[in-house]
Amino acid sequence: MNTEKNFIISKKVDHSANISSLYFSKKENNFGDFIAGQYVTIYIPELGIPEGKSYSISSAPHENEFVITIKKMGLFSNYLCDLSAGDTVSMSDPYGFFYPDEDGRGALVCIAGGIGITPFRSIILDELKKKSKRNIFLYYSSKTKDDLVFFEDFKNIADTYKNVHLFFHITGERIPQNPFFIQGRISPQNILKNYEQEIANSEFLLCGSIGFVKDMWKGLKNNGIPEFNIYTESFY
Amino acid sequence: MKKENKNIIDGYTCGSDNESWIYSDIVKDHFFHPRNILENEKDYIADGIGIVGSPACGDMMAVWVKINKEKNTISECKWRTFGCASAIASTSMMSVMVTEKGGMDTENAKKLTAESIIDRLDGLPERKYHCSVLGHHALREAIIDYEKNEH
Repeated sequence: MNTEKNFIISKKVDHSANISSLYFSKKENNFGDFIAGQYVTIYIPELGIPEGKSYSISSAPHENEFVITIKKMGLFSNYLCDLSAGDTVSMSDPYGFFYPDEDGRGALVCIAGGIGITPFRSIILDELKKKSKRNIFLYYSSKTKDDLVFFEDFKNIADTYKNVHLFFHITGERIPQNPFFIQGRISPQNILKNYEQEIANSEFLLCGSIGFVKDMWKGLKNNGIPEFNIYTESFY
Repeated sequence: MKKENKNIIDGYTCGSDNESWIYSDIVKDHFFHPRNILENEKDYIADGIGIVGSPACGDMMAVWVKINKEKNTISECKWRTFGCASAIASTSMMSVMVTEKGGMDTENAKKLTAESIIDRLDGLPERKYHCSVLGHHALREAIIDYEKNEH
């Protein structure tokens, strides 16, 4: 249902030439509640396109600002990345079901391809805010080290919380030896070797391109993960 | 060329670019013979109803479920859409998946994914992925509606 409202951008942060975050002050914009992992649908009637496009929320519900992080991929996202503080965006209420079970106790395994990282910043910060004792694994695949978004955020989180484990996979350039970086693609088989003991109760959240999510979903399922423990969100 | 054309739903396009789409035999079967469509809900008493989509862009999906309350499984799943071939085939397949083998547990049905449905359809063109999410989102809304009505 179309329930969009106009919101004013309070700040814009460019993470790289192609990726930007738009910040919205919760107080000034009267934002409602949302669940970490949800998305909003943005409408840009100025472009003459009636359909909206959906973007995951990258901020956590407890944070003061509401943030969406966008990669330039076409007309719509280019337009959004070129906006500035003070500009207005027409957005739906938050929606979606891409979030872990509230009562989940096994490992939380987050697997991100490229800009698919955005909901995981929200989900992981939210888990930690709730003082979750779950082991949280983040596998984040990026073509280059410079394309990694939230790298410092995640590094600080892992330094503070011993139950958070990071694996940054770099697929498009050679990288020097480093405790955080792994050369090459994410392999579901290798992921599963990391925590055989916890597999029965683990939840696997996958976010990325359609092809990335499909491959990971098949890889996990073919290696014995029940499909109802695998949650997916794809961008298109 | 003739063989290729057999895999195309003749004359059916979705979107405005007049492209044809290659579909699996299972997708074609569910598009031409959709299961569990509800053409008129007037006399249908459902336990939960879910409606998602945007009338502005023409993608609307409604799902009605009946629940076996003893087993907490889905006994009937009906639907109707103003969607394209992929939306019709995906939702038709979804309605089969959640009602086969005695009906899917509602908790598992809420966790159904587009990947799971597309896998059963033997694939969908990537550009049609977004059409496959409407059905299970509406299903989830229908189950949530049932849960609200019950408690």
